[in-house]
Amino acid sequence: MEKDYIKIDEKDWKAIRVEIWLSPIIIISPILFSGYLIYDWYTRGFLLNENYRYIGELFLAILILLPNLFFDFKFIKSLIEYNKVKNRLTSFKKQVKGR
Amino acid sequence: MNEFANKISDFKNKFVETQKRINEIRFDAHWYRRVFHTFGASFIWYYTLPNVDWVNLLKMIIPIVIVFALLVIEILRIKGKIGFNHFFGLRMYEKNRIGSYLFFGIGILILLLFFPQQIAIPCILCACIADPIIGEIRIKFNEKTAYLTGFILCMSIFALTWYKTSLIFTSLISLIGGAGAVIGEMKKFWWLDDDLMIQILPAIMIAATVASIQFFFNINILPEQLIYPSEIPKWMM
Repeated sequence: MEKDYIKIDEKDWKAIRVEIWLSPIIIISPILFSGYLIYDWYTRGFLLNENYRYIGELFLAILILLPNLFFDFKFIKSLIEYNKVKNRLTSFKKQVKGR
Repeated sequence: MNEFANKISDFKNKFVETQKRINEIRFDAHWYRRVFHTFGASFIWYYTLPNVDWVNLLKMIIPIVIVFALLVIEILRIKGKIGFNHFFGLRMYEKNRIGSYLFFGIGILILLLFFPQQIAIPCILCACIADPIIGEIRIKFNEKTAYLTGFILCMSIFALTWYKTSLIFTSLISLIGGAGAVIGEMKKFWWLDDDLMIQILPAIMIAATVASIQFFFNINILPEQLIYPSEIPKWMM
C-alpha cells in the first residue's frame, strides 16, 4: 500500500482550510473531556470518599490528556510552520510577478 | 552578463528553497492524522451522558446518523461528486477506497452500541492513543520495536481500565486485549482498515473470553463500569 499522502496542489487550499476550521474542535474537545473526568473524580470520588470507584476516571483522563497534548503540540507547530510557508510563497510569487 | 548569471542563480536558489517548503506542507498532513486519532478519545464522553429515556434514544440515533452521513460523503467522494481536495490528509491508497476515518467511526459506533463500556473504552483508546504512538515509533525505530511497544501500551490500557476485577483476570484480559490490538494493527488489507481492526478484534476476543468464563465456570469477570453517567439536571426529568 502506498503510504504517501494525496498531494495538495498549491491551488487546493480548500482542503487545508477545512483542516484549519476543524483544528479547534479536534484540539479542545479531548482536553475538555479530560478536564470533565478529573472534575467528576474530584467531586464524586475524592470529596465523597469514593476514590476506588472513581479513580478509573482519573486514570482515563491522564491517559487521554498526555498523548493529546504531545500530538497537539506537534500539530500546532506544523500549522505555524505552514502559515510561514504560505506567507513566504505569496511574497515570492509577488516578487516573481514583479520581475 | 555576470549580473544576469547571478540573478539566474539567485532565482534558482529561491525556487529550490520554495519547493522544499512546499514539500513541508505535505508533512503537515502527518500530524493532522495523528491529532485526528487522539481526538477520537472524546467519543468516550458518550458514557457520561445522563441515563434518561430520551437521552438514551438520542445516544443510539445520533452516532448512527453521523456515521451514515460520513458514509454518504465518502460514497460521493469516491464517485467524484465531491472533489478530494476537500479532504485533507487522505493517503494515496484511500483515493479510490473508503477513507480510514470512516472505518475509525464505524469501529467506534459498533463498540458504543454493541459492547459494554468495560470492553469498549480500552478498545477505543487502543485506536486513539496506541495506534498513533505505534505509527510514530515505527517511523523513528522499526516495526518490531513499534509492535512490542504497542503490545505493552495496549496491555497497560486494558490493565488500567480493568483495575476493578481480580488481578488474575486483569492480567488475562490485558494479555488478550494487547495481543488482539497488535494483531489488528499488524494485519493490513486494502479493503479493511487497521483503524477498524485494532478496535473490533480485541473487543471480540475479550467478549468471547468473558462469555466462555461465564459459561464454563459461572464467574462474571466483567468489572463494574469505569465511567458513571452524570447526574440528571431537573430540566431533563
